[in-house]
Amino acid sequence: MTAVEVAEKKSRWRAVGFLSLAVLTLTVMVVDTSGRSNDFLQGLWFGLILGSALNLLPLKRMLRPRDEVLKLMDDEGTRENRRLSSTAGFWAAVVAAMALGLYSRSSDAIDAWMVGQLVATAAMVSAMVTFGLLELRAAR
Amino acid sequence: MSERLANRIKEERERAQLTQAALAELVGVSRKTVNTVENGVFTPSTMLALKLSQALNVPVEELFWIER
Repeated sequence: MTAVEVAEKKSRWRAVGFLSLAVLTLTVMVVDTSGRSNDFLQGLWFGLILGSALNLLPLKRMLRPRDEVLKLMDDEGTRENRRLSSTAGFWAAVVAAMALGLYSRSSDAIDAWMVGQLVATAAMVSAMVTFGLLELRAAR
Repeated sequence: MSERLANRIKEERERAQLTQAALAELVGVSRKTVNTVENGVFTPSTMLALKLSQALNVPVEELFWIER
């Protein structure tokens, strides 16, 4: 298998992984905010968000800059997809924060933890879904 | 007025009897980047455009042009 083929295979799995992680993060947040919250769920949600954020960074490439496969997995096409997904995440966070701000004016005050959870989840899920879909579209 | 970067990578690649993966290997990017450039989804950097033109042995201005 050539480096291009290995990178292709790994990139596809990475995209599927991001989409699965997005679904899992959203599910955990929904369960956690629907009155069944406990320390385990909050810890799991926190870990998922942190893990997702770190996964969106090209950390492996930074640590092993001479690795051929990693170089191909973070080429200019992928960097563009990463940039677009970060933009999507930013706007999702802005919209979520504004919606929560408006909601809090007409309803009871929302717990600060929940605000953080909703904004961070909106940002990370939209960034991961955008990245995953762009990568899968590119691989067609 | 909208402008887009059109290209004839597919024709030249097929003329050179190269697959997307083989061309990707020659220019040092992934196959999906070659695919997105070929389909006009992604606008390549100057560096990649020049590498593609060298790999396909076609002047860069014949490989890419602005479509209005």
